[in-house]
Amino acid sequence: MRTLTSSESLIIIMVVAAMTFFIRLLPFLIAGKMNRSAAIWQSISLMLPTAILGVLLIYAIRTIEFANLHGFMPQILGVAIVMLLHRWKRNTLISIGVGTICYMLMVQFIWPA
Amino acid sequence: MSKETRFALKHTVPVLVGYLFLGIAFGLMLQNAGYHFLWALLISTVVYAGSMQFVLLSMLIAGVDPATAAAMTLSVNSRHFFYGLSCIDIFRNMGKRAGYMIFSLTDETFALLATVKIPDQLDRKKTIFRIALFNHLYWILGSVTGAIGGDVLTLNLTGIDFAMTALFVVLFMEQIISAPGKRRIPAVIGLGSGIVMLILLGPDRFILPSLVLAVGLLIVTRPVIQKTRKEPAAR
Repeated sequence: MRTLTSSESLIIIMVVAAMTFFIRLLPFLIAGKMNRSAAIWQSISLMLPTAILGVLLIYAIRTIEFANLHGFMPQILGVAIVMLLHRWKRNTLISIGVGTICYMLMVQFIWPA
Repeated sequence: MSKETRFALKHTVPVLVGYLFLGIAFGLMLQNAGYHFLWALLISTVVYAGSMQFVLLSMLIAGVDPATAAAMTLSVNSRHFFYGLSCIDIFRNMGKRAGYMIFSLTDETFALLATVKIPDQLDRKKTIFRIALFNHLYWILGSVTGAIGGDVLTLNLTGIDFAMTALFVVLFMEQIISAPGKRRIPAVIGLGSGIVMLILLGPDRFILPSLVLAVGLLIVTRPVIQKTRKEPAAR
């Protein structure tokens, strides 16, 4: 079933590894050349993590689609359950554990693919 | 067990669940494509990028050339650029560990590092290094397990990857709860940018424009948010 030889595969893997590291490293390379005391940088670096987290949350549910119930009900209800549980108990493991189990029940039994 | 290790273990449990099972799925698929567990070990150790590894798998099966692989990685992982951008201060003074911290900056590790509140009595550098390392180890463990014995797993685990979504929801809510009033604006900007770009561009192309839009909006709204920054509650 393999289409590539071991050495060809290895090259592809190393290219992907190098590029992945390069992207993660790039901001640190650029930062060395920037004036980091600039007010704009100071405030952005404080606010950016929270903003990215908001984008990441949408990224995590990006496959949502409204054509059928399976496409959105488990995700919307799952996120809602996690939010309500977290508002109520504010216990990370309970929120994530119970939310995930509910989601699994929904995609496996209530709205299967 | 040191206090730092215990703290890191406790805070990475959700990632343990998510990475273990996503890793198993990856290892199993890799095995089915004709690559045994040493390949899973290699890839999860040196690449260490969740969704990118599934793309890598499809590229291995399709037999692409290195240039295509490089371009593909750039487009799938470009969002990671923004993680580093907001971790520059977090990783300052990390010394020899800095290289590893940068290498291991996945979505989940970033989300934890950006939000975790480390108690004063713990060594900050040790703690965040352990968080990054443990997450990496969970991922390696999962993918090797999947490649070796994934097919004996009879339990239907469809949907367990929701643990990662749930983790982001919880971390996001923690940010909202701990930031009153105008300090919630960055969270709203992030969420709003994501939603708008997802609707406009669809799931495959929205992430980078969303991040760029979020940064732009942060710069524009900076004067408004910053008025509240000087308060003692601010980080």
